[in-house]
Amino acid sequence: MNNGSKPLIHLEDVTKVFLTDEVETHALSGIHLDIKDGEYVSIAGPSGCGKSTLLSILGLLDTPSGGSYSLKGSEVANLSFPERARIRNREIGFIFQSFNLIGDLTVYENVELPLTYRGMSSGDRKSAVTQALERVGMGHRAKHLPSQLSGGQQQRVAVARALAGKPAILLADEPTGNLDSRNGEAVMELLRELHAAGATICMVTHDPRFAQNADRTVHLFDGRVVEDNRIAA
Amino acid sequence: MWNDIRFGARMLVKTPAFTIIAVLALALGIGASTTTFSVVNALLLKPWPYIQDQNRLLYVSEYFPKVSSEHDNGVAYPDYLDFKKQATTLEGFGTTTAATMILSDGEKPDRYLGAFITADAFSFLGVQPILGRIFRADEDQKGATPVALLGYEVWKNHFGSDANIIDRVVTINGKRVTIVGVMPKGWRFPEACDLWMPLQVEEKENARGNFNFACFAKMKRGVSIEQARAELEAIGTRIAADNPQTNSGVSVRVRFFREEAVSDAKTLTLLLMGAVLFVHLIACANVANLLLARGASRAREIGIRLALGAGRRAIIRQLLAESLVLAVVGSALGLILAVWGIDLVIRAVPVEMPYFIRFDFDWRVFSFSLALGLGSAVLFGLFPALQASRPQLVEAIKEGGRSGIGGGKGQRVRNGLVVAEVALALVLLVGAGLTLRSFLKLQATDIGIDPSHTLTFRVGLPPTQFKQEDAGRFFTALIPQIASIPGVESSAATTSLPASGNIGVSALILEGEAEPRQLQNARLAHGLAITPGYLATCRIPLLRGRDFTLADNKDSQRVVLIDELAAHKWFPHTDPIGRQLAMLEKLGEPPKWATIIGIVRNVVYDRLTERREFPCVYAAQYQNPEWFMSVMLRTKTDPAAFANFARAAVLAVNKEIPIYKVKTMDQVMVESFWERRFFGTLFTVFAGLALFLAAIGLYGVMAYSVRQRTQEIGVRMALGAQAGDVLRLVTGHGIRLVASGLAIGVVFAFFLTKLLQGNLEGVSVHDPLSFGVVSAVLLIVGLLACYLPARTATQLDPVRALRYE
Repeated sequence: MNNGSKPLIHLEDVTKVFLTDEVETHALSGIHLDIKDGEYVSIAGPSGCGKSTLLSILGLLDTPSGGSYSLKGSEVANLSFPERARIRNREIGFIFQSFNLIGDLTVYENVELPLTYRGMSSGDRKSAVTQALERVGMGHRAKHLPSQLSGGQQQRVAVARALAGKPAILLADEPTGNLDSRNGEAVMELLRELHAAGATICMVTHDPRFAQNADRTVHLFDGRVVEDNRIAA
Repeated sequence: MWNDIRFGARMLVKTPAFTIIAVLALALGIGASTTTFSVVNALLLKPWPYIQDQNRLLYVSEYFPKVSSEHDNGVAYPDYLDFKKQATTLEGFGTTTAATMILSDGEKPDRYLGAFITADAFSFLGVQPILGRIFRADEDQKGATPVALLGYEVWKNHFGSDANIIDRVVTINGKRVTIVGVMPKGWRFPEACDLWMPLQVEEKENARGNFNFACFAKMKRGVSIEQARAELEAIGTRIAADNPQTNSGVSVRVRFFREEAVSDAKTLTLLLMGAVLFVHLIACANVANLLLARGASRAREIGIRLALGAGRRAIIRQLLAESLVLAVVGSALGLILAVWGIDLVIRAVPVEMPYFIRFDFDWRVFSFSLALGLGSAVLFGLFPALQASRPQLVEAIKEGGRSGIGGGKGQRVRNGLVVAEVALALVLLVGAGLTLRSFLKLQATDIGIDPSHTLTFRVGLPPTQFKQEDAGRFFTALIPQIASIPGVESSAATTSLPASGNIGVSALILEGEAEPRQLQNARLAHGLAITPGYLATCRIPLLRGRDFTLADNKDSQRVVLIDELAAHKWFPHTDPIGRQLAMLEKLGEPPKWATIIGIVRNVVYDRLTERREFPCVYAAQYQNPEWFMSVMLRTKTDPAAFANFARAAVLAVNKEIPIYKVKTMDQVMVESFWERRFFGTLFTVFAGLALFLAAIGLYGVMAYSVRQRTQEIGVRMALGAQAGDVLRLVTGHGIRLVASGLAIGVVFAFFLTKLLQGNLEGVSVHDPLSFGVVSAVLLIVGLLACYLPARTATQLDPVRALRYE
């Protein structure tokens, strides 16, 4: 684990305003946040506090209305759509609450998908996909369709997909939200293992039990960071 | 790309309803377009078989602009000789005249359409025989040994593909003729001939003023048609200066041979091609609409792909790959439909097509189909792909999230496509309505006879074998023989069948008039010879005077009948009965006067699509017998059943004379406007297809709109909206789309139907009835297409609708 001085992610005074007709909604206001390489950060807060919006900005799915966002030292707040797509593909791994596997692709193809967009050769893809599936314990289900798997298994596949491209950071949005407690525990255990192996993870959750798994918990309220607790090891 | 295609195919298999509808729509569009393109290919693109350097081949004709600038005459034989001798821009100049040729060596005589042709023609056309040789240049000289070339089918069917046929002597038209060669399969120059003999013409028998030879020429390499035309026109001017009586006012028309051969059908074929591409556009619009709706429903999948780092290009490529799969399957099915379509087209043509028009499935047709399929994939796939590739990303990947494409812009595009479909369908339907009305008017034309229960056939004695008196005796014996067949009411013969177009125009003078100094100033009339009983057989009313009788023969005073138009035009203030006229067979020869003995009702002898307003003079066959005539028999029952009896009756009179062109008079009528019926039917089929596709498109959009508005409808119902309110809400939206399409379509149709000008009979291109009926039909179909989704909307359960996402 490298907790050196230069952060992997640096947000400075980030704001996000949604405009609908004549109404302005301030989803994020003046967010300052650093995430270092190898850190496991959880973002917590009540519903509507801006957790998911923050995660969308961190994942380059959305752009901030103001402020700056640098990833691995490069400013990424106002990149073009294709540039953001390229960075998402190489630097960010997503784990969604609803898994977001593509139902018409097999487990193997789902995990392979981000690698195909990277232009990786077929041989390299095969090795990366197999490795990622083995790592989450789903190698034996490679040819199955998502609909043939349980929720927990689907989320493991989603984790494998996020891992396969060896991203700089894993972003997890309520990764246990659609799982029962047993499967939820299993997924959290998997994330712990990944973190122990050196992965940087940023997870949105409103479950305090799971938030405790992280090194640090950032609390949001009304679009602002109201607390940033480092949990003692 | 292969992964994209594989995934695309898998997605299409997973949504069979969508795939089947899209593939069928494309297959119908591509099938109809390919079928029509095969006609365009046959008429305008495909090289003719065996003729070399076709782009240098010309058709040359003479015509009197003062009489008609549209109708060509042939070329007078002496004029042909002058052109051939003086032209320096031409490599070859040939002429031909069609003739019945009777091969009478077998058990029964076989009649073929043959051509007498200048001996050097095949040489400069570049065709080679498969056996023997073509004509030598001296074989069209008078006194040369009679020789013939056999067509492939004659060689195969009449002579059993005899490899030793060369130098065999056979009997053609009673003459012993040596076979010198067999032409390749499919060669039937100039149009549908099966035998060729060298043209041996005596100039004195074909004096100037008889414009009855078809001429073709080949330009020298490097010469343009303008140069050739200028030279031939200059020669024509010199001929006219030297021969003012016959050639004053004669113009020379020079066209590419192909242009001449297809001129009648070119415009209609291209219009049909345009119409069918409209149908295909409607099909593409439907598929685009389906893809737009599908893109909206796949917004989440696309969102996930984008979140995982796919660029828009990758998404567009993925979606286009699916369109490509659709297009390839649609093209393949379209090609199969086109094979059937082409077969139907060939069967729908009731006349023998010229040999060079072949609706084969060649590489051009295949390439067209392929290109259309690929082009369509881009046409219907690109916009939906562009739209689908930019969903509101964060929304799209949320569970239950909706894509931006589902509303707003996507809906506007879908609406726009439906408006375009309705507009295109209206243009097609108006075009079809006009051609249909025109065709129905032609079909209802009163041609002046009763065509029912009448069988006709052509029969004749070759002039090379029989004298004129023999022809007279033959028909004198034949007609009573035919009339005596049980079930035959009456029989007669005529040189020209009504509505057949097989009639010439002759110059004439009335008593007291001097012979015109120039042919172009002469009185002109349709002239034909008939036997007694013709008026009764055709049921042509005799308005005044008397009919011909057997007593009107070569020994009696020459007599003629004229029609009402002639009486009105030539004798506006006097009684024509007893007055005299003379047909000018050869200028300068003493006129042969004939007395008018009766006036008959006007009869149409031109083809119904090529009517000219000429008076008509009927000569008595037995006073000046013709060799070839059409025999007509009026029967009490189905006339087609009498063909074998008629054949037997002819053989009983002369066992070497076959009959041919056996048709009922109703068939002759149909053939006289078959192109209009053919194109009218195709237009109607394509317009029907367009209407169907537009209705499907409208239904699809309305059904999708109802699904999208389920929650809104639920809210309205929860707030007290009645079924009628919901029905009005949904149909109102649809009707607005239809009305917009109609308004745009009417404007386009107003301008585009002008292209039909000249191809309609008795109907204005802006016929209000066609415009009105078509708009009403579209409106009704549009209402029906809206009604089903609207009814579904009224049956929604408000509680479930409110929960709907």
